[in-house]
Amino acid sequence: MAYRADDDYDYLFKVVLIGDSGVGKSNLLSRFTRNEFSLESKSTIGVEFATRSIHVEDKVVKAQIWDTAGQERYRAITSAYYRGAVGALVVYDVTRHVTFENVERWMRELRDHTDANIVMMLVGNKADLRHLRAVPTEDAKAFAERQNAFFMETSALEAMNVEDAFTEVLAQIYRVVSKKALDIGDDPAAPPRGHTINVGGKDDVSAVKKSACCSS
Amino acid sequence: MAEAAADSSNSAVDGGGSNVQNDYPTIDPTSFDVVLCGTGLPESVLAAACAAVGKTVLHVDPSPFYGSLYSSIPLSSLTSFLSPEASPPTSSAAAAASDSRTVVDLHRRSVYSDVETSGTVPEPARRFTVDMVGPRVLYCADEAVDLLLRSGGSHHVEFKSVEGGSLLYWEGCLYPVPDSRQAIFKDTTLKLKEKNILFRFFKLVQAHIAAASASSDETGQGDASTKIPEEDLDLPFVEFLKKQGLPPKMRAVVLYAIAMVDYDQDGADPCDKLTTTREGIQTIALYSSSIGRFANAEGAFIYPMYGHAELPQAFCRCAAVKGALYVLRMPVVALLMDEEKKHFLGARLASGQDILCQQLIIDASYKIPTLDVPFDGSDSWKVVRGVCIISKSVKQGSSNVLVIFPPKSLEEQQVAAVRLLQLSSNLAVCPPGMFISYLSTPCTDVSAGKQSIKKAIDTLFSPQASDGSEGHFETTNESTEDVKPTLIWSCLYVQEITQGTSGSLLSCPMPDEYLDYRNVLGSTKKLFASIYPDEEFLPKKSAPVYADDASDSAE
Repeated sequence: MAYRADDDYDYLFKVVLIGDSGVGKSNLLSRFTRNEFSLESKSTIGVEFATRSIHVEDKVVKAQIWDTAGQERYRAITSAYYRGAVGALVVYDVTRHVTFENVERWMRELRDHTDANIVMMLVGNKADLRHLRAVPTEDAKAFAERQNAFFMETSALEAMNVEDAFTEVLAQIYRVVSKKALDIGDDPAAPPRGHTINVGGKDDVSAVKKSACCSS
Repeated sequence: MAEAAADSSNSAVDGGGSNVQNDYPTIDPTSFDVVLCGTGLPESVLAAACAAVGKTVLHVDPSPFYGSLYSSIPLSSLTSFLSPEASPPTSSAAAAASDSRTVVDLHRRSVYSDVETSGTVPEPARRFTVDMVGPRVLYCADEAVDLLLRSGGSHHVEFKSVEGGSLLYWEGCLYPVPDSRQAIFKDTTLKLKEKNILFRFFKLVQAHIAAASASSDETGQGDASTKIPEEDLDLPFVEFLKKQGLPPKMRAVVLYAIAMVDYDQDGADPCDKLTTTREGIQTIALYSSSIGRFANAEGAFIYPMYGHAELPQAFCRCAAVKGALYVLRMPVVALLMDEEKKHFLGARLASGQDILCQQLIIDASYKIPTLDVPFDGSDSWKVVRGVCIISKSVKQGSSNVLVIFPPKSLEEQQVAAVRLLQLSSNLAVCPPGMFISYLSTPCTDVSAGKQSIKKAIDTLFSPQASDGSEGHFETTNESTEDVKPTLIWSCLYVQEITQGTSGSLLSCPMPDEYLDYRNVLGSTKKLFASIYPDEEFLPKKSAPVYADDASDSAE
């Protein structure tokens, strides 16, 4: 990032955070994008999405990470929230087993509304609360393997594995996109940039849109 | 890829099973400034507007998806959406008058009737999405677009152009609508005399629009010589066009295809349906300023990808970002009043939970208890809507096209314009190779309205039964005859139209007969002003400032 203008990037990837209310999605987001953590646990308000750019191999990858705005609390996430997402972090709270039980429903919802190639990571947050653990690591790891998802335990409070979780998802998305580009000779995917009304070209129908900003 | 995109055409996430016995959540907190029920466009815009000025908002919907009467429905669910079973809401048998409260039951009603379906739904049915508001577009310069930009809703919606433009049906042929000076130049079907007349007319209108906006800027000091005189502005628009020497076909272009007038301006109808010059020029100004507003949009109109229910979702997301609470699968079943039924206290949810609030806003599918006067169906306005699946574009090489049938162009009894909007797979509303066409016409006489829609369908499409012997009709842009698209499946239905109502209980407007949302949004703004007269409606810069490590462009 020190070597490029901040808005110059090779890929823009939309990543969504999903999972039960109160598992720490917003703190994961703020820790990764602004290195901030808040102990206040009220429902997500005020956050649309946040971005951060990282390097993957020799490319600049800009992550556009969306938070639920609290709409998951009573199962009212819009289908538009999922549109164009190429990655997802499905988050549960290791101290509340019910949040892990609901992960299967979140993953089903995700698969119903996104591309089959979406990179999914199961994230067990609040791993710092060791004495309150209710979800054994091995159970979650085995579940993730069955779901063909990556897995990591994190602590947004202690900043443990947060960076790794996001960078791993972004690196895997990059691999999928690169492979796809090799397969079909297409441009990488990018979600809408959100600064103006996005009017697509006549025949461009893909939910994972081409980016006019990418450079080879 | 397209498969996943089409699969995502449902307008909301329905993660739950289809259990009849719902496991309702308990809502916390139990007191709000505003409770809204229904997630149509007016309710969603109101939720965003209330949340933007700091009100606490609870927004619920009985359905598992967003949209209410503004929904985008999978084709397989369309008939059940149009004719819902009359299942009374499962109101819990709580005490009727506890804590000095009186419970007034709230009931829903169907706003659709006269459903007729023909043909076979092509496979895969789940790849089709039907808009209940169709035919409907956004002008690029519409206030709806500005509201999306102001509120931040534009982050959540993508659009495509209606890049095929508009066609006018006239004397058995389809003609491209010359909607700008450049289009007049390029048009090959207009005679030179017609071009000159139209060009002069557009020049006159453009000069007036420029002088009028300069006049409003300079508080009354404008170039008066280029403005249209007041007496002309108050004339019926059709009379003004005659004064300008426009022949009948050109008048039809201006009135019905550019000014979007609905009703016959040459008939002997009562004059409340006559459009004034002022009104006509207002729409022409919007139309003109829409062309070229967005560099990558062709023509004046844009359409939301995946269907119109994306718009309410966008505004709901904005409200949620500002703190509004969202609950799906949650009907409101009753009003809470004080003992004497004089003051409104709140609402009872289907879960049995009572929510206190100062204001309740409902969508138009709820009956309003206090206004339960005998329903006089004879004088209510209705719109007949049609949905067709067709085999190819009505205009060769175009994805999305608007077709206008002026009054009396189909048959002598046609008293209102019929509009047809064809959409293609580039909007992710149908599979590639097929098109969805929406039609509508306003009416008081349902039978006559349906007749007009059927006539328009028969005019443009061939029935599927005569495979291989499809009819022909002339498209004047082509030198050879073109083959009509085949009608694969169609559905006609009637929707009643009511405006919003005020009072302690607000009811939002239904989708109307118009091509755009100006009227709906105008009513919505009035509702907001009636609740919060001192608050600004979706203030500029109410879009959330998102955390960004890069300094993207300020706009």
